[in-house]
Formats: sequence, structure tokens, C-alpha cells
Amino acid sequence: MRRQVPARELIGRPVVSLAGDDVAEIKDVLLSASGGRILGFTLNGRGFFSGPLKEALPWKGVQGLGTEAVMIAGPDVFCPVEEVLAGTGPAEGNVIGNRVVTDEGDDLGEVTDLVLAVDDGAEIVGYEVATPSGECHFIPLPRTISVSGEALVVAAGEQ
Amino acid sequence: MRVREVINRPVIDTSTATIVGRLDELVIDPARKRIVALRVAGVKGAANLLAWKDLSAFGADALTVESVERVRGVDAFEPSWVVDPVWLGKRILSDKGNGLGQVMDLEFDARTGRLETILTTEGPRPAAAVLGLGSYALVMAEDAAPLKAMTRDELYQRAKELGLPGRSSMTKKELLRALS
Repeated sequence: MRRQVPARELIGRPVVSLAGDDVAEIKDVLLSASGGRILGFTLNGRGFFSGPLKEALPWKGVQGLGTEAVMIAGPDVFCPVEEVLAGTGPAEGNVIGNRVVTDEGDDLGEVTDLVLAVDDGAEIVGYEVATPSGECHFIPLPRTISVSGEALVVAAGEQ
Repeated sequence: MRVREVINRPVIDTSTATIVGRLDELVIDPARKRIVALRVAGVKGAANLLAWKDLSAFGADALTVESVERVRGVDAFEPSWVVDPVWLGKRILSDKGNGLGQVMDLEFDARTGRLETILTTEGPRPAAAVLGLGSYALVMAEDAAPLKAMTRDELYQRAKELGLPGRSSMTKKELLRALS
């Protein structure tokens, strides 16, 4: 059953092993340079005083992404954050806050979130963009031309 | 038989014909899906655990044991052997990360001690689908695919997930038996 969720819904989601222990929780979603692929997630520990973990969860370690938890076989699927980001271009990581510009030079606003389509796994289907006046738009991924550390360029067209 | 209906049943020492305690809790191993021990309240001293093999009978009205001496303290058991997972009320997650409700009760075979059905807030599920029980949740396989319909490789995969020892040398029949 496929549903569309904004990526922020995953923040704080518990990461649970098949043995039934909540070993971590989702901190951030890591994206590929083109912005079209989820590379993995950074993690926070569980518990009141827990902060960010050194380990990250690579996408291939995700057993299932459901309505309540992200399932993994066990904590040995974690790896250092650098390994998850390795092999991507210089512009990876967080696109939230990037400006969105059309290829004709119009500024459409700022990226406020990714939109994911989730069933057994998850893929990025587009971006949530807020205009300066505060309106919220959805820009589907096929319209995205390029992504850098600062901006998203999309094809001009109806918004 | 269900866990909620047997709690507080008397435990009788058949050599003296006396009630030596009451059933407090069933200790059920999620990996083997069996009752491994019974927690008995009311026995003198620190003794409160009865190994399943030391139980004489699990009857409709009472449990019987050859002698109260069979009830031991937790130190008499190997640490790895006595698991103490809490099943009732536990949140249930599927292996895909979806919520499957909460555990309301457990149905078991009183003769063999095998766990048969998990009674959840969203209906019954076969105990064979249990993948693990931890501090946060009971994890169950979402697909209710009957084991009999699985190929030997699929059964082996399931056995691998559960960490069943000796799985590589098991035949399909042996895997089926070990998994159900």
C-alpha cells in the first residue's frame, strides 16, 4: 500500500531491530547529489539524554519502512556517516532550506521538505516548496534539473 | 489454554498433596516459542522458578509437581537460559515497520508447552510468525504465508533470521518442524 509522506514524518521514527529493541531513532534523511535517491539516515540515540550517534543507517540496511518504525536486521547494519555519503557528489546531505529556481530564472521559494512515496521501501517523489508568501507547493522529481548545496533548479512550467 | 486464564492457578506437590504456591507468570522463550519456565509465587525462600521439564502436569484446575524441591531460585539456572521477556501488553511491529496492535493474550498447548497463537488487539496471529521479542516490541512477520507453502530456501532464510542452530544441515521437513 503506497502512501506519500513528507520526509519530516520520519524524523524521530524509532529504528527497531528484528529482535524487538529500539536501537536508535531517525535524525535526518541523507540524499544523493541529484536529490533523487535516499542514501540513508543519520541517527540519534533513544532516551532523554541521547544525542546524535556516530553511526548512520545506510539505505541497504533498511529491512522495512512502515507506519511506526524503520526495521533493521540488527545494529551491525550501521556504518560511519562518511561511508553512507561516499561516492556522491559535493552537493549531498540536506536540501532543506535550498532556494528553488526555474531554468528560466524565476525564484519559486524554499525547499521545506522532501516528499517520499512509501510502501515496502521509500523513494523520493518530489519536494515541498514554500513560496515567499507562505504558500506550499509540491514539485515532482521529474521536474528537477539539478541540485547543489544551495539551490534546486527545476523546469519552468505550471507550478 | 491461555496465559490470562492460568495465572494464579495453584501448584500442587504430589508427594505431599499440598498446595505449595500459585502460578505467577509463564516464562516463554520467543526464539523457541515454548514455555521454558513457570514463575511460582508463595514458595518459601528465594525459590520461585520451575523449569518446564520439572512440571508434572498442567491441568485445567491445578499444576502438579513431584516435589516442591523442583522449584528453584534463579541462580540454579544458566543465565542465558532463563529469558524474561514480557509478552502481555507488548506493542507489536511487523518486519516491515507497521503497527500490528498489542498483545492481549497468548494461546499455548498445555501438554507440550508450545506457543500457538498470539491474540492481538487486531485479531489472532500464528506464533510461527514471531521473529523476536525485545524491550521495545514484539516483531512478527507481516506476510501470513503459511510455512508449508514455502520452498526449502525460504524456510532456510526464515531460520537464518531467527538464528536457529544447525539450520544448514536440516532437510525441508526438519526446517518446517523447527520453525512451526
